[in-house]
Amino acid sequence: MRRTVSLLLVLALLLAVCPVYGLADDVPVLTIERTEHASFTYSLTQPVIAELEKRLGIKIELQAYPSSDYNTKLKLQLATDDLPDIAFSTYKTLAEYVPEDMFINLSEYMDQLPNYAETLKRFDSLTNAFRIDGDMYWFIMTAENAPAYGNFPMVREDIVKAIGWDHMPDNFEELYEMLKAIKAYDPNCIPMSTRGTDVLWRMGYSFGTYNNIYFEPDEGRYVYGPATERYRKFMEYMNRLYTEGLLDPDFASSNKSIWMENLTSGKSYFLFENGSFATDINLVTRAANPEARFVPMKTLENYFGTRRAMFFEGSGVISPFRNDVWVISKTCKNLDAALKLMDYLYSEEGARLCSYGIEGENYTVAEDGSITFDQEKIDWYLKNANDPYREYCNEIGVGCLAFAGRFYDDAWYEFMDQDSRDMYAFWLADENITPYSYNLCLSAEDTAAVADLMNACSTLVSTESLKFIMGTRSLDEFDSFVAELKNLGAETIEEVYNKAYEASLSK
Amino acid sequence: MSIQHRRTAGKPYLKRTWFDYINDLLMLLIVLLTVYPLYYCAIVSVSDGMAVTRGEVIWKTIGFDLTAYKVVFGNDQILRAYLNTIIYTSLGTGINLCMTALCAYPLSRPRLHGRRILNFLIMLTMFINGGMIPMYLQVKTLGLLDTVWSIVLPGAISTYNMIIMRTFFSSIPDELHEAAEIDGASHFRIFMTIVIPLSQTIIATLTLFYAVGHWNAYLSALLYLTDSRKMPLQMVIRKMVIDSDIASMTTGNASSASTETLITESKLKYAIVMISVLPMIIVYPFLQKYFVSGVMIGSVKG
Repeated sequence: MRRTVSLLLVLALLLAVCPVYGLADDVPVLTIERTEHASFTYSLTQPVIAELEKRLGIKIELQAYPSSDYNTKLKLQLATDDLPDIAFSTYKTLAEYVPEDMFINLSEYMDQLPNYAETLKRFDSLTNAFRIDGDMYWFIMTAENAPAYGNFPMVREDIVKAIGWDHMPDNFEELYEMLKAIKAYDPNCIPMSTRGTDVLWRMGYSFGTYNNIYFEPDEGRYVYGPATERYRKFMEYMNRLYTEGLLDPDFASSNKSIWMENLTSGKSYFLFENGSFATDINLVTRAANPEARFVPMKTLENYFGTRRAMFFEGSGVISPFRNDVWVISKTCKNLDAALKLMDYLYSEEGARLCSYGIEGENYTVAEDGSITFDQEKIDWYLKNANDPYREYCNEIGVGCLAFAGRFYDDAWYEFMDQDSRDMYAFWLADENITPYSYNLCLSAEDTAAVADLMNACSTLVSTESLKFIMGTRSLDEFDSFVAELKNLGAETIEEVYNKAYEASLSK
Repeated sequence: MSIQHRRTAGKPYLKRTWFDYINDLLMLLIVLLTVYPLYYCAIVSVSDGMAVTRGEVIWKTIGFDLTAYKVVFGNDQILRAYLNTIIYTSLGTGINLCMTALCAYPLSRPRLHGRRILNFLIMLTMFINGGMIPMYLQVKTLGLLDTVWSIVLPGAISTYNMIIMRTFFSSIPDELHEAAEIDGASHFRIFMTIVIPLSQTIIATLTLFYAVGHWNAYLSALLYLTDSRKMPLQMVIRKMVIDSDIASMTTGNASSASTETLITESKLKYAIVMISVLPMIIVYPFLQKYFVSGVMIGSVKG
């Protein structure tokens, strides 16, 4: 016993102090890190990674972390100068870390990045907001041909018929009338259910306002939403829904599973949400009742005479730019290889590789240029997978969750039923749907200047908005609420944003 | 002591008062509150996906469907992570116990020179530590990054547990040591043949403390590991349970396309939760009797 224990201890210590030496190799090694999705696992066995290594003569080492903890890791790596060669995050996060000191300034290497320069040129005016003092530090992920998703109103078709409406609501007043009629038809129901308080921005934008700083297209500048008259109107509207029992009384504490439960169990008939959930919801409701189906409405006219709904950034309709970006670390030892690799991702050849996989194996191109996917594989995933499209992407190593720069998302359509395709087509055809905010990249300095103010204002907005909606604070006090916001610095936030916005326009 | 015992001991029968009934009821309620979440996880994970989404599963299973478990066990990453966790937990707990015992024993001996100052310095680490970045740099300079040792070595001794063990060692009668010394035993022999066998209670208790700690740990893995093949189960669980909610806030929900494959997220989550807590639930009853007596250490001895 004694001998075994001492032996084990010595062995443990010996192994612990043994450094691991890597084999010297001429092939440049690039370490790449990014977040990992639940249905997507990084693996060097993914054919796309192997193909990239083969085509470019490099070796790739992938590191992946859960997104909830990714920032902790990133901060630690930045603080200890231990960042991998290529790292992933959103540009808003990375902008906080003094990019000038941490990441390669790509503007200085544009001659080595012909394909990326070409991509930026194609969307010229949109790229300004991503620059810091005119310089570009990131490779922005771009999605093209993607199904467009965003926040849209949807209602149960059979209920609209049952209450005797022959048309869908055209404006917010009619929406209120319809919800009221639904309540009268089925007094036990909660006509509208939400996934929590995010309804304040999801519906708020269509209503003509927002619950934070945002780009107001009607005014052509950044506005702190809650400090406006429009927000008062929005609060009045929500208060009306709440007091008349048209809005879930527990909406403030609701969450995704409660929300799904309400919609699928026939307790709620209306949602203003990320439209891509409709497929899942319809799947459950229609199993019980084939007539029960959520259908999209046309963009509603708000009280200020405009119609608008938001597509999410990077959903590929107006702007192909996602929030996600790649950066090359200043500590990167194989800079040329890293630049070559990243630039390759933005070439047509690289984009196809990272979107569709390997030609001849995962897809074929007909003479007219049309693309056909491996139907057998798609069918297999549709039948056997829990999350078919993502798991399909995972096997090949393609798409927005993979190591990709510019990619096409049209393979997604192959995984949809006709119902969903119709819905996406419906939204695409609606010309009132726009991206919800103009991408704006604040410098580290500006970010630091407004961070505390934004925090203080948001806290006040989230608590007081609930009070206004639930009627525990009278709307007569809205003016004093606005004064409180201004006191906390809402105007300074607007100023900083508008200055940065104007600066980005002038460059 | 139960009522039955009291009777046979010849003592007068104690009437159950209202207090007892209310107490029992309250305890039952607490037990229910503790057990229900776990029970809920279990029934949701095996119920029909449709019923789960509609929120019908509350008290008992509806339908029976093991697809969530099939998905979990069909996932290489989860299985590998499970194995990693078992390795980290067993190796880590082994190292913890050896190191803690080796540290606690000398400190429990009254004749150790400089005992007070050593105790003080060790105690100090409970209140003051280097923090995340110095720790990371230390682990990096030692060349431990991305190795199993970065998980099991940095926390080899928990000061708190070491103190518990030291207190226990001190309570072993000095006469035993003296007798052994007269017989010519060395310190190491005394430690191995007298102290350790007499300390099974505390070893079992600390095994449980350390093992649960390792089983639930994810921060050191997040900070020190880079190879996803070395990640423990908790990292995978975090990814699946927390991230899937965040991801669906503003991205497309690439959804199931047929009812056959509809496994709701919650089903999957709960299946993973069940699988990850199961080993601890199984081990706990066996260590519990030691655990209970371990808790009494330091209390008044009769």
